[in-house]
Amino acid sequence: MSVPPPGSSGPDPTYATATGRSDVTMPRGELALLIAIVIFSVVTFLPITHNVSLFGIPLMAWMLWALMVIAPAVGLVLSLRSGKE
Amino acid sequence: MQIAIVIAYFVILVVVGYLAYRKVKGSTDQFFVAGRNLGTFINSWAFLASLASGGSLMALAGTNLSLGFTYLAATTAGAPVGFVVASILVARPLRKLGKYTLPDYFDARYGSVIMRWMVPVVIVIASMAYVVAQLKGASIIAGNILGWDYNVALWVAGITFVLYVSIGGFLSVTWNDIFQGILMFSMIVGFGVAAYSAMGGFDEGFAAATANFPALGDAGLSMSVWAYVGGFVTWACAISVTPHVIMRVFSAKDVRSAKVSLNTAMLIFVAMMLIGFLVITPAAGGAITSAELTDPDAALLLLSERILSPLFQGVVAAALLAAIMSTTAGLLMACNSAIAHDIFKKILKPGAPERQVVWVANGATWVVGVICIALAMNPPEFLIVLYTGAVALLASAFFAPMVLGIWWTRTTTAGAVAGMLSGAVVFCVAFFAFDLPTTSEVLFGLPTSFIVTFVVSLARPETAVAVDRDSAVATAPRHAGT
Repeated sequence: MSVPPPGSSGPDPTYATATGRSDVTMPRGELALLIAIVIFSVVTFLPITHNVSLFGIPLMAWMLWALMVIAPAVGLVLSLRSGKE
Repeated sequence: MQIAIVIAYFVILVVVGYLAYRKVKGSTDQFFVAGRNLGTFINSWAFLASLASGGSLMALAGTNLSLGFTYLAATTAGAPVGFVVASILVARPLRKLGKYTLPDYFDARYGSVIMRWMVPVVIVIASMAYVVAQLKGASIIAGNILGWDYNVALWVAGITFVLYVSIGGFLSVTWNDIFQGILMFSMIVGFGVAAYSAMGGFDEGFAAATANFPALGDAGLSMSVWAYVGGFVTWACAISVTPHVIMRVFSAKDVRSAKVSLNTAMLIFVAMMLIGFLVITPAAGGAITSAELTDPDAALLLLSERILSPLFQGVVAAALLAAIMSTTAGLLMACNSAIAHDIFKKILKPGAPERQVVWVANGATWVVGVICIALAMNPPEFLIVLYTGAVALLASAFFAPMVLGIWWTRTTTAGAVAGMLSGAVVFCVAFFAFDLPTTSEVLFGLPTSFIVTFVVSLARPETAVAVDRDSAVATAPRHAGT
Protein backbone atom coordinates (compact mmCIF):
# COMPACT_ATOMS: atom_id res chain seq x y z
CA MET A 1 0.00 0.00 0.00
CA SER A 2 1.51 3.34 -0.98
CA VAL A 3 1.01 6.43 1.09
CA PRO A 4 0.78 10.16 0.49
CA PRO A 5 3.96 12.22 0.73
CA PRO A 6 4.54 13.86 4.11
CA GLY A 7 2.83 17.18 4.50
CA SER A 8 0.43 16.59 1.64
CA SER A 9 -3.04 17.92 2.23
CA GLY A 10 -6.52 17.49 0.87
CA PRO A 11 -8.86 14.52 0.76
CA ASP A 12 -7.78 11.22 -0.77
CA PRO A 13 -8.97 11.28 -4.40
CA THR A 14 -9.81 7.60 -4.22
CA TYR A 15 -11.98 8.12 -1.15
CA ALA A 16 -15.21 9.03 -2.93
CA THR A 17 -15.17 5.94 -5.11
CA ALA A 18 -13.68 3.63 -2.48
CA THR A 19 -16.48 4.25 -0.01
CA GLY A 20 -19.29 5.11 -2.37
CA ARG A 21 -19.64 8.34 -0.41
CA SER A 22 -21.19 10.21 -3.27
CA ASP A 23 -24.11 7.78 -3.41
CA VAL A 24 -24.04 6.46 0.13
CA THR A 25 -27.55 5.66 1.34
CA MET A 26 -29.03 4.14 4.45
CA PRO A 27 -31.55 1.31 4.11
CA ARG A 28 -34.98 2.31 5.41
CA GLY A 29 -34.96 -0.44 8.02
CA GLU A 30 -31.69 0.82 9.51
CA LEU A 31 -32.91 4.41 9.48
CA ALA A 32 -36.09 3.33 11.28
CA LEU A 33 -34.02 1.44 13.85
CA LEU A 34 -31.83 4.48 14.53
CA ILE A 35 -34.87 6.74 14.96
CA ALA A 36 -36.52 4.18 17.24
CA ILE A 37 -33.38 3.96 19.38
CA VAL A 38 -33.24 7.74 19.76
CA ILE A 39 -36.93 8.03 20.68
CA PHE A 40 -36.80 5.10 23.11
CA SER A 41 -33.65 6.52 24.74
CA VAL A 42 -35.20 9.96 25.21
CA VAL A 43 -38.34 8.47 26.76
CA THR A 44 -36.23 6.27 29.04
CA PHE A 45 -34.51 9.28 30.60
CA LEU A 46 -37.62 11.46 30.95
CA PRO A 47 -38.67 12.35 34.52
CA ILE A 48 -41.73 10.08 34.28
CA THR A 49 -39.48 7.04 34.71
CA HIS A 50 -37.43 8.35 37.60
CA ASN A 51 -39.38 7.15 40.62
CA VAL A 52 -41.30 4.19 39.26
CA SER A 53 -40.39 0.59 39.95
CA LEU A 54 -41.64 -2.69 38.54
CA PHE A 55 -41.17 -5.95 40.50
CA GLY A 56 -38.84 -4.10 42.85
CA ILE A 57 -36.53 -2.87 40.09
CA PRO A 58 -36.52 0.74 38.75
CA LEU A 59 -38.48 1.22 35.53
CA MET A 60 -35.55 3.04 33.95
CA ALA A 61 -33.37 -0.06 34.44
CA TRP A 62 -36.02 -2.28 32.85
CA MET A 63 -36.26 0.07 29.86
CA LEU A 64 -32.48 0.20 29.41
CA TRP A 65 -32.25 -3.59 29.57
CA ALA A 66 -35.04 -3.85 26.99
CA LEU A 67 -33.19 -1.42 24.75
CA MET A 68 -29.92 -3.32 24.99
CA VAL A 69 -31.67 -6.55 23.97
CA ILE A 70 -33.91 -5.19 21.24
CA ALA A 71 -31.42 -2.90 19.48
CA PRO A 72 -28.79 -5.55 18.60
CA ALA A 73 -31.49 -8.18 17.92
CA VAL A 74 -33.15 -5.97 15.32
CA GLY A 75 -29.74 -4.88 14.05
CA LEU A 76 -28.76 -8.52 13.55
CA VAL A 77 -31.95 -9.28 11.62
CA LEU A 78 -31.36 -6.28 9.36
CA SER A 79 -27.72 -7.28 8.81
CA LEU A 80 -28.64 -10.85 7.94
CA ARG A 81 -31.21 -9.62 5.44
CA SER A 82 -28.68 -7.33 3.73
CA GLY A 83 -26.72 -8.60 0.75
CA LYS A 84 -22.96 -9.16 0.63
CA GLU A 85 -20.89 -6.15 -0.46
CA MET B 1 -4.82 -24.90 42.04
CA GLN B 2 -5.83 -21.32 41.12
CA ILE B 3 -2.21 -20.36 40.44
CA ALA B 4 -1.73 -23.42 38.18
CA ILE B 5 -4.83 -22.54 36.15
CA VAL B 6 -3.82 -18.90 35.74
CA ILE B 7 -0.23 -19.78 34.77
CA ALA B 8 -1.54 -22.33 32.24
CA TYR B 9 -3.72 -19.57 30.82
CA PHE B 10 -0.73 -17.22 30.47
CA VAL B 11 1.30 -19.94 28.73
CA ILE B 12 -1.53 -20.58 26.24
CA LEU B 13 -1.62 -16.87 25.38
CA VAL B 14 2.11 -16.74 24.62
CA VAL B 15 2.03 -19.98 22.59
CA VAL B 16 -0.84 -18.60 20.51
CA GLY B 17 1.17 -15.41 20.03
CA TYR B 18 4.11 -17.44 18.73
CA LEU B 19 1.92 -19.39 16.29
CA ALA B 20 0.52 -16.10 15.00
CA TYR B 21 4.08 -14.74 14.64
CA ARG B 22 4.94 -17.60 12.28
CA LYS B 23 1.97 -16.66 10.10
CA VAL B 24 2.51 -12.87 10.13
CA LYS B 25 6.09 -13.00 8.79
CA GLY B 26 6.63 -9.24 8.62
CA SER B 27 3.48 -8.42 6.61
CA THR B 28 1.72 -5.21 7.71
CA ASP B 29 -1.59 -6.50 6.31
CA GLN B 30 -1.29 -9.59 8.52
CA PHE B 31 0.11 -7.68 11.51
CA PHE B 32 -2.43 -4.83 11.62
CA VAL B 33 -5.67 -6.40 10.25
CA ALA B 34 -5.00 -10.18 10.24
CA GLY B 35 -5.03 -10.40 6.46
CA ARG B 36 -8.47 -8.73 6.26
CA ASN B 37 -10.31 -12.03 6.00
CA LEU B 38 -11.69 -12.78 9.48
CA GLY B 39 -15.04 -14.58 9.35
CA THR B 40 -18.24 -13.76 11.22
CA PHE B 41 -17.84 -16.36 13.98
CA ILE B 42 -14.28 -15.33 14.77
CA ASN B 43 -15.00 -11.61 14.67
CA SER B 44 -18.12 -11.96 16.84
CA TRP B 45 -16.15 -13.47 19.72
CA ALA B 46 -13.28 -11.06 19.10
CA PHE B 47 -15.64 -8.04 19.22
CA LEU B 48 -17.07 -9.41 22.46
CA ALA B 49 -13.65 -9.89 24.01
CA SER B 50 -12.58 -6.40 22.93
CA LEU B 51 -15.58 -4.78 24.59
CA ALA B 52 -16.02 -6.88 27.73
CA SER B 53 -13.28 -5.46 29.90
CA GLY B 54 -12.36 -5.96 33.52
CA GLY B 55 -14.71 -3.11 34.36
CA SER B 56 -17.65 -4.80 32.65
CA LEU B 57 -17.36 -7.98 34.68
CA MET B 58 -15.55 -7.09 37.90
CA ALA B 59 -17.50 -3.93 38.69
CA LEU B 60 -20.86 -5.41 37.79
CA ALA B 61 -22.11 -6.78 41.10
CA GLY B 62 -20.43 -4.20 43.34
CA THR B 63 -21.60 -1.17 41.35
CA ASN B 64 -25.18 -2.46 41.33
CA LEU B 65 -25.12 -3.11 45.06
CA SER B 66 -23.69 0.33 45.84
CA LEU B 67 -25.59 2.52 43.35
CA GLY B 68 -28.65 0.49 42.42
CA PHE B 69 -29.34 -1.16 39.07
CA THR B 70 -29.93 1.97 37.01
CA TYR B 71 -26.47 3.54 36.67
CA LEU B 72 -24.76 0.40 35.41
CA ALA B 73 -27.81 -0.35 33.24
CA ALA B 74 -27.30 3.03 31.56
CA THR B 75 -23.59 2.57 30.84
CA THR B 76 -24.03 -1.10 29.92
CA ALA B 77 -26.93 -0.38 27.54
CA GLY B 78 -24.85 2.31 25.86
CA ALA B 79 -22.39 -0.27 24.51
CA PRO B 80 -24.86 -2.55 22.66
CA VAL B 81 -26.59 0.52 21.28
CA GLY B 82 -23.18 1.88 20.28
CA PHE B 83 -22.39 -1.31 18.37
CA VAL B 84 -25.70 -1.03 16.50
CA VAL B 85 -24.94 2.61 15.74
CA ALA B 86 -21.49 1.60 14.49
CA SER B 87 -22.88 -1.18 12.33
CA ILE B 88 -25.31 1.24 10.68
CA LEU B 89 -23.32 4.46 10.49
CA VAL B 90 -19.68 3.49 10.01
CA ALA B 91 -19.18 -0.24 9.26
CA ARG B 92 -19.92 -0.17 5.53
CA PRO B 93 -17.89 2.89 4.48
CA LEU B 94 -14.96 1.96 6.70
CA ARG B 95 -14.74 -1.66 5.55
CA LYS B 96 -15.06 -0.63 1.90
CA LEU B 97 -12.29 1.91 2.33
CA GLY B 98 -9.83 -0.97 2.81
CA LYS B 99 -7.44 0.75 5.25
CA TYR B 100 -5.95 -0.24 8.61
CA THR B 101 -6.84 2.31 11.26
CA LEU B 102 -9.12 5.12 12.39
CA PRO B 103 -6.56 7.80 11.40
CA ASP B 104 -6.52 6.20 7.92
CA TYR B 105 -10.20 7.07 7.57
CA PHE B 106 -9.73 10.69 8.66
CA ASP B 107 -6.73 11.05 6.38
CA ALA B 108 -8.56 9.59 3.40
CA ARG B 109 -11.67 11.68 3.99
CA TYR B 110 -10.12 15.00 4.95
CA GLY B 111 -6.39 14.89 4.17
CA SER B 112 -5.62 17.35 6.96
CA VAL B 113 -2.07 17.69 8.28
CA ILE B 114 -3.45 18.70 11.71
CA MET B 115 -5.61 15.58 11.87
CA ARG B 116 -2.74 13.41 10.67
CA TRP B 117 -0.91 14.27 13.91
CA MET B 118 -3.81 14.90 16.27
CA VAL B 119 -5.80 11.70 15.74
CA PRO B 120 -3.03 9.18 16.50
CA VAL B 121 -1.77 11.24 19.44
CA VAL B 122 -5.25 11.41 21.02
CA ILE B 123 -5.68 7.67 20.39
CA VAL B 124 -2.40 6.84 22.12
CA ILE B 125 -3.17 9.06 25.14
CA ALA B 126 -6.74 7.76 25.56
CA SER B 127 -5.71 4.13 25.03
CA MET B 128 -2.91 4.39 27.60
CA ALA B 129 -5.32 5.70 30.25
CA TYR B 130 -7.60 2.78 29.44
CA VAL B 131 -4.72 0.27 29.63
CA VAL B 132 -3.50 1.56 33.00
CA ALA B 133 -7.00 1.08 34.45
CA GLN B 134 -7.17 -2.48 33.09
CA LEU B 135 -3.75 -3.33 34.51
CA LYS B 136 -4.81 -2.13 37.93
CA GLY B 137 -7.84 -4.43 37.69
CA ALA B 138 -5.61 -7.40 36.75
CA SER B 139 -3.42 -6.83 39.77
CA ILE B 140 -6.43 -6.57 42.11
CA ILE B 141 -7.67 -9.95 40.85
CA ALA B 142 -4.32 -11.61 41.31
CA GLY B 143 -3.99 -10.06 44.75
CA ASN B 144 -7.45 -11.19 45.88
CA ILE B 145 -7.62 -14.68 44.42
CA LEU B 146 -4.04 -15.78 43.96
CA GLY B 147 -2.50 -13.91 46.86
CA TRP B 148 0.15 -12.35 44.65
CA ASP B 149 1.78 -9.06 45.53
CA TYR B 150 0.25 -6.17 43.54
CA ASN B 151 3.47 -5.29 41.70
CA VAL B 152 4.38 -8.93 40.95
CA ALA B 153 0.95 -9.55 39.47
CA LEU B 154 1.18 -6.30 37.52
CA TRP B 155 4.49 -7.19 35.85
CA VAL B 156 3.56 -10.83 35.16
CA ALA B 157 0.25 -9.89 33.54
CA GLY B 158 1.69 -6.84 31.78
CA ILE B 159 4.69 -8.60 30.26
CA THR B 160 2.52 -11.53 29.15
CA PHE B 161 0.16 -9.41 27.11
CA VAL B 162 2.93 -7.21 25.70
CA LEU B 163 4.74 -10.38 24.63
CA TYR B 164 1.85 -11.93 22.77
CA VAL B 165 0.79 -8.67 21.11
CA SER B 166 4.31 -7.77 20.00
CA ILE B 167 5.15 -11.12 18.46
CA GLY B 168 1.88 -11.92 16.75
CA GLY B 169 0.16 -8.58 16.14
CA PHE B 170 -3.55 -8.43 15.41
CA LEU B 171 -3.72 -12.10 14.40
CA SER B 172 -2.40 -13.13 17.79
CA VAL B 173 -4.81 -10.76 19.53
CA THR B 174 -7.68 -12.16 17.49
CA TRP B 175 -6.91 -15.82 18.15
CA ASN B 176 -6.53 -15.09 21.84
CA ASP B 177 -9.73 -13.00 21.80
CA ILE B 178 -11.72 -16.00 20.56
CA PHE B 179 -10.35 -18.14 23.36
CA GLN B 180 -10.87 -15.37 25.91
CA GLY B 181 -14.39 -14.51 24.71
CA ILE B 182 -15.55 -18.12 24.99
CA LEU B 183 -13.86 -18.45 28.39
CA MET B 184 -15.62 -15.30 29.68
CA PHE B 185 -19.04 -16.39 28.43
CA SER B 186 -18.64 -19.90 29.88
CA MET B 187 -17.51 -18.48 33.20
CA ILE B 188 -20.49 -16.13 33.50
CA VAL B 189 -22.98 -18.87 32.59
CA GLY B 190 -21.37 -21.33 35.04
CA PHE B 191 -21.11 -18.67 37.74
CA GLY B 192 -24.75 -17.74 37.13
CA VAL B 193 -25.89 -21.35 37.64
CA ALA B 194 -23.86 -21.65 40.85
CA ALA B 195 -25.12 -18.26 42.11
CA TYR B 196 -28.76 -19.15 41.41
CA SER B 197 -28.37 -22.44 43.28
CA ALA B 198 -26.74 -20.67 46.21
CA MET B 199 -29.44 -18.00 46.63
CA GLY B 200 -32.30 -20.53 46.57
CA GLY B 201 -34.57 -18.75 44.08
CA PHE B 202 -34.82 -15.24 42.74
CA ASP B 203 -37.42 -13.90 45.20
CA GLU B 204 -35.48 -15.05 48.25
CA GLY B 205 -32.17 -13.84 46.86
CA PHE B 206 -33.53 -10.46 45.85
CA ALA B 207 -35.19 -9.95 49.25
CA ALA B 208 -31.94 -10.76 51.05
CA ALA B 209 -29.94 -8.51 48.73
CA THR B 210 -32.23 -5.49 49.18
CA ALA B 211 -32.15 -6.03 52.95
CA ASN B 212 -28.33 -5.80 52.88
CA PHE B 213 -28.14 -3.15 50.16
CA PRO B 214 -31.28 -0.94 50.12
CA ALA B 215 -30.02 0.99 47.05
CA LEU B 216 -30.67 -2.12 44.96
CA GLY B 217 -34.43 -1.84 45.27
CA ASP B 218 -34.59 1.97 45.32
CA ALA B 219 -36.70 3.34 42.47
CA GLY B 220 -35.11 6.81 42.76
CA LEU B 221 -31.82 7.88 41.21
CA SER B 222 -28.70 7.87 43.37
CA MET B 223 -26.99 10.54 41.21
CA SER B 224 -27.96 13.38 38.90
CA VAL B 225 -29.92 12.12 35.89
CA TRP B 226 -27.24 13.68 33.67
CA ALA B 227 -24.72 11.13 34.98
CA TYR B 228 -26.96 8.37 33.62
CA VAL B 229 -27.55 10.15 30.32
CA GLY B 230 -23.83 10.91 29.98
CA GLY B 231 -22.81 7.31 30.69
CA PHE B 232 -25.27 6.06 28.08
CA VAL B 233 -24.33 8.64 25.42
CA THR B 234 -20.58 8.13 26.00
CA TRP B 235 -20.71 4.46 25.06
CA ALA B 236 -23.44 4.82 22.43
CA CYS B 237 -21.20 7.24 20.50
CA ALA B 238 -17.70 6.09 21.51
CA ILE B 239 -17.98 2.59 20.03
CA SER B 240 -17.97 4.03 16.50
CA VAL B 241 -14.64 5.76 17.12
CA THR B 242 -12.95 3.41 19.60
CA PRO B 243 -9.81 2.34 17.74
CA HIS B 244 -9.57 -1.25 18.97
CA VAL B 245 -13.18 -1.87 17.94
CA ILE B 246 -12.89 -0.11 14.59
CA MET B 247 -9.78 -2.14 13.68
CA ARG B 248 -12.01 -5.21 13.80
CA VAL B 249 -14.33 -3.66 11.22
CA PHE B 250 -11.31 -3.26 8.93
CA SER B 251 -10.34 -6.90 9.51
CA ALA B 252 -13.74 -8.37 8.57
CA LYS B 253 -13.90 -10.30 5.30
CA ASP B 254 -16.79 -8.17 3.98
CA VAL B 255 -19.30 -5.50 5.02
CA ARG B 256 -22.10 -7.93 5.85
CA SER B 257 -19.79 -10.02 8.01
CA ALA B 258 -18.66 -6.90 9.89
CA LYS B 259 -22.26 -5.87 10.61
CA VAL B 260 -23.43 -9.35 11.59
CA SER B 261 -20.39 -9.76 13.86
CA LEU B 262 -21.03 -6.43 15.62
CA ASN B 263 -24.64 -7.33 16.41
CA THR B 264 -23.98 -10.98 17.30
CA ALA B 265 -21.22 -9.97 19.70
CA MET B 266 -23.60 -7.60 21.42
CA LEU B 267 -26.30 -10.23 21.89
CA ILE B 268 -23.74 -12.48 23.59
CA PHE B 269 -22.55 -9.51 25.69
CA VAL B 270 -26.14 -8.65 26.66
CA ALA B 271 -26.80 -12.26 27.72
CA MET B 272 -23.71 -12.12 29.94
CA MET B 273 -24.69 -8.80 31.46
CA LEU B 274 -28.29 -9.87 32.16
CA ILE B 275 -27.01 -12.93 34.02
CA GLY B 276 -24.85 -10.52 35.98
CA PHE B 277 -27.71 -8.12 36.71
CA LEU B 278 -30.48 -10.58 37.50
CA VAL B 279 -28.66 -13.53 39.06
CA ILE B 280 -25.12 -12.73 40.19
CA THR B 281 -25.94 -9.31 41.68
CA PRO B 282 -28.77 -10.50 43.99
CA ALA B 283 -26.72 -13.57 44.91
CA ALA B 284 -23.79 -11.34 45.88
CA GLY B 285 -26.11 -9.01 47.79
CA GLY B 286 -27.47 -11.92 49.78
CA ALA B 287 -24.10 -13.51 50.51
CA ILE B 288 -22.19 -10.33 51.42
CA THR B 289 -23.11 -7.68 53.96
CA SER B 290 -22.56 -3.98 53.32
CA ALA B 291 -19.93 -3.91 56.11
CA GLU B 292 -17.91 -6.60 54.32
CA LEU B 293 -17.96 -4.79 51.00
CA THR B 294 -15.19 -2.24 51.53
CA ASP B 295 -14.25 -2.29 47.81
CA PRO B 296 -17.27 -2.62 45.46
CA ASP B 297 -15.02 -3.95 42.67
CA ALA B 298 -14.21 -6.97 44.84
CA ALA B 299 -17.86 -8.09 45.23
CA LEU B 300 -17.63 -10.68 42.46
CA LEU B 301 -14.46 -12.12 43.92
CA LEU B 302 -15.98 -12.27 47.42
CA LEU B 303 -19.00 -14.14 46.06
CA SER B 304 -16.67 -16.47 44.20
CA GLU B 305 -14.90 -17.34 47.46
CA ARG B 306 -18.22 -17.99 49.21
CA ILE B 307 -19.92 -20.28 46.71
CA LEU B 308 -17.33 -21.78 44.35
CA SER B 309 -14.78 -24.58 44.63
CA PRO B 310 -11.05 -23.67 44.39
CA LEU B 311 -10.95 -25.11 40.86
CA PHE B 312 -13.78 -22.89 39.65
CA GLN B 313 -12.33 -19.91 41.50
CA GLY B 314 -9.24 -20.37 39.33
CA VAL B 315 -11.41 -20.40 36.22
CA VAL B 316 -13.12 -17.21 37.39
CA ALA B 317 -9.73 -15.57 37.91
CA ALA B 318 -8.57 -16.65 34.45
CA ALA B 319 -11.82 -15.41 32.87
CA LEU B 320 -11.57 -12.02 34.59
CA LEU B 321 -7.96 -11.76 33.50
CA ALA B 322 -9.13 -12.72 30.00
CA ALA B 323 -11.64 -9.86 30.06
CA ILE B 324 -8.91 -7.46 31.05
CA MET B 325 -6.20 -8.75 28.76
CA SER B 326 -8.31 -9.01 25.62
CA THR B 327 -9.35 -5.38 25.92
CA THR B 328 -5.84 -4.32 26.87
CA ALA B 329 -4.28 -6.18 23.95
CA GLY B 330 -6.70 -4.52 21.53
CA LEU B 331 -5.84 -1.13 22.96
CA LEU B 332 -2.15 -1.89 22.70
CA MET B 333 -2.66 -2.76 19.04
CA ALA B 334 -4.39 0.59 18.62
CA CYS B 335 -1.36 2.32 20.15
CA ASN B 336 1.26 0.46 18.14
CA SER B 337 -0.62 0.95 14.86
CA ALA B 338 -1.06 4.66 15.65
CA ILE B 339 2.69 4.99 16.23
CA ALA B 340 4.05 2.62 13.56
CA HIS B 341 1.50 3.00 10.79
CA ASP B 342 -0.03 6.44 11.29
CA ILE B 343 2.99 8.40 12.51
CA PHE B 344 6.13 6.48 11.44
CA LYS B 345 5.03 5.13 8.06
CA LYS B 346 2.67 7.88 6.95
CA ILE B 347 4.46 10.97 8.28
CA LEU B 348 8.05 10.29 9.29
CA LYS B 349 9.22 7.64 6.80
CA PRO B 350 6.73 7.08 3.95
CA GLY B 351 9.02 4.71 2.05
CA ALA B 352 9.65 2.38 4.98
CA PRO B 353 9.49 -1.33 4.06
CA GLU B 354 6.76 -3.45 5.66
CA ARG B 355 9.18 -5.42 7.83
CA GLN B 356 10.57 -2.17 9.29
CA VAL B 357 7.04 -0.94 10.10
CA VAL B 358 6.30 -4.20 11.89
CA TRP B 359 9.52 -3.83 13.88
CA VAL B 360 8.58 -0.28 14.87
CA ALA B 361 5.15 -1.60 15.92
CA ASN B 362 6.88 -4.24 18.05
CA GLY B 363 9.07 -1.61 19.68
CA ALA B 364 6.09 0.68 20.24
CA THR B 365 4.19 -2.17 21.92
CA TRP B 366 7.01 -2.68 24.42
CA VAL B 367 7.55 1.03 25.10
CA VAL B 368 3.84 1.76 25.58
CA GLY B 369 3.33 -1.45 27.57
CA VAL B 370 6.18 -0.77 29.97
CA ILE B 371 5.09 2.87 30.46
CA CYS B 372 1.56 1.69 31.27
CA ILE B 373 2.85 -0.93 33.71
CA ALA B 374 5.01 1.73 35.39
CA LEU B 375 2.04 4.13 35.66
CA ALA B 376 -0.14 1.34 37.06
CA MET B 377 2.37 0.73 39.88
CA ASN B 378 1.16 3.95 41.48
CA PRO B 379 -2.26 4.45 39.92
CA PRO B 380 -4.03 7.72 40.70
CA GLU B 381 -7.21 7.32 42.74
CA PHE B 382 -9.33 8.85 40.01
CA LEU B 383 -8.26 6.20 37.54
CA ILE B 384 -11.74 4.85 36.75
CA VAL B 385 -13.01 8.35 36.16
CA LEU B 386 -9.97 9.00 33.97
CA TYR B 387 -10.61 5.86 31.89
CA THR B 388 -14.26 6.72 31.32
CA GLY B 389 -13.12 10.22 30.50
CA ALA B 390 -10.65 8.84 27.94
CA VAL B 391 -13.47 7.07 26.09
CA ALA B 392 -15.66 10.17 26.28
CA LEU B 393 -12.79 12.26 24.90
CA LEU B 394 -12.64 9.99 21.85
CA ALA B 395 -16.39 10.40 21.34
CA SER B 396 -16.29 14.17 21.83
CA ALA B 397 -13.43 14.67 19.38
CA PHE B 398 -14.01 12.05 16.67
CA PHE B 399 -17.70 11.09 16.48
CA ALA B 400 -19.07 14.20 14.76
CA PRO B 401 -16.30 14.52 12.10
CA MET B 402 -16.53 10.77 11.45
CA VAL B 403 -20.32 10.51 11.07
CA LEU B 404 -20.82 13.82 9.29
CA GLY B 405 -17.89 13.03 7.00
CA ILE B 406 -19.62 9.85 5.89
CA TRP B 407 -23.22 10.97 5.71
CA TRP B 408 -23.13 14.71 4.94
CA THR B 409 -21.28 15.52 1.73
CA ARG B 410 -21.08 19.21 2.63
CA THR B 411 -18.68 18.47 5.51
CA THR B 412 -15.41 20.27 4.79
CA THR B 413 -11.91 19.64 6.06
CA ALA B 414 -11.95 22.97 7.92
CA GLY B 415 -15.28 22.09 9.51
CA ALA B 416 -14.07 18.65 10.60
CA VAL B 417 -10.81 19.98 12.04
CA ALA B 418 -12.65 22.76 13.91
CA GLY B 419 -15.25 20.27 15.17
CA MET B 420 -12.60 17.82 16.33
CA LEU B 421 -10.56 20.46 18.14
CA SER B 422 -13.55 22.18 19.73
CA GLY B 423 -15.09 18.89 20.89
CA ALA B 424 -11.82 17.82 22.52
CA VAL B 425 -11.17 21.23 24.13
CA VAL B 426 -14.71 21.67 25.48
CA PHE B 427 -14.67 18.15 26.87
CA CYS B 428 -11.31 18.70 28.60
CA VAL B 429 -12.44 22.02 30.07
CA ALA B 430 -15.68 20.44 31.34
CA PHE B 431 -13.75 17.46 32.74
CA PHE B 432 -10.91 19.27 34.48
CA ALA B 433 -12.27 22.73 35.30
CA PHE B 434 -15.83 22.04 36.48
CA ASP B 435 -17.34 19.75 39.10
CA LEU B 436 -20.00 18.25 36.84
CA PRO B 437 -21.93 15.02 37.47
CA THR B 438 -19.82 11.92 36.71
CA THR B 439 -19.63 11.03 32.98
CA SER B 440 -21.77 14.01 31.96
CA GLU B 441 -18.90 15.99 30.36
CA VAL B 442 -19.52 14.33 27.00
CA LEU B 443 -22.89 16.12 26.90
CA PHE B 444 -20.95 19.35 26.36
CA GLY B 445 -18.14 18.12 24.09
CA LEU B 446 -20.23 16.10 21.67
CA PRO B 447 -22.88 18.72 20.78
CA THR B 448 -20.15 21.37 20.48
CA SER B 449 -18.28 19.20 18.00
CA PHE B 450 -21.42 18.64 15.90
CA ILE B 451 -22.41 22.31 15.89
CA VAL B 452 -18.91 23.59 15.04
CA THR B 453 -18.39 21.01 12.28
CA PHE B 454 -21.77 21.91 10.84
CA VAL B 455 -21.42 25.70 11.05
CA VAL B 456 -17.83 25.90 9.76
CA SER B 457 -18.66 23.53 6.89
CA LEU B 458 -21.66 25.64 5.94
CA ALA B 459 -19.47 28.75 5.92
CA ARG B 460 -17.88 27.47 2.70
CA PRO B 461 -20.18 27.85 -0.34
CA GLU B 462 -21.62 24.58 -1.64
CA THR B 463 -20.25 25.19 -5.12
CA ALA B 464 -16.71 25.42 -3.73
CA VAL B 465 -17.14 22.12 -1.87
CA ALA B 466 -18.36 20.44 -5.05
CA VAL B 467 -15.42 21.82 -7.04
CA ASP B 468 -12.97 20.54 -4.39
CA ARG B 469 -14.54 17.10 -4.52
CA ASP B 470 -14.56 16.93 -8.33
CA SER B 471 -10.98 18.13 -8.66
CA ALA B 472 -9.83 15.65 -6.01
CA VAL B 473 -11.37 12.76 -7.92
CA ALA B 474 -9.95 14.04 -11.19
CA THR B 475 -6.35 14.31 -10.00
CA ALA B 476 -3.90 11.44 -10.04
CA PRO B 477 -4.45 8.89 -7.23
CA ARG B 478 -2.21 9.29 -4.20
CA HIS B 479 -3.16 5.97 -2.65
CA ALA B 480 -2.77 3.67 -5.58
CA GLY B 481 -2.77 0.05 -4.60
CA THR B 482 -4.81 0.34 -1.43
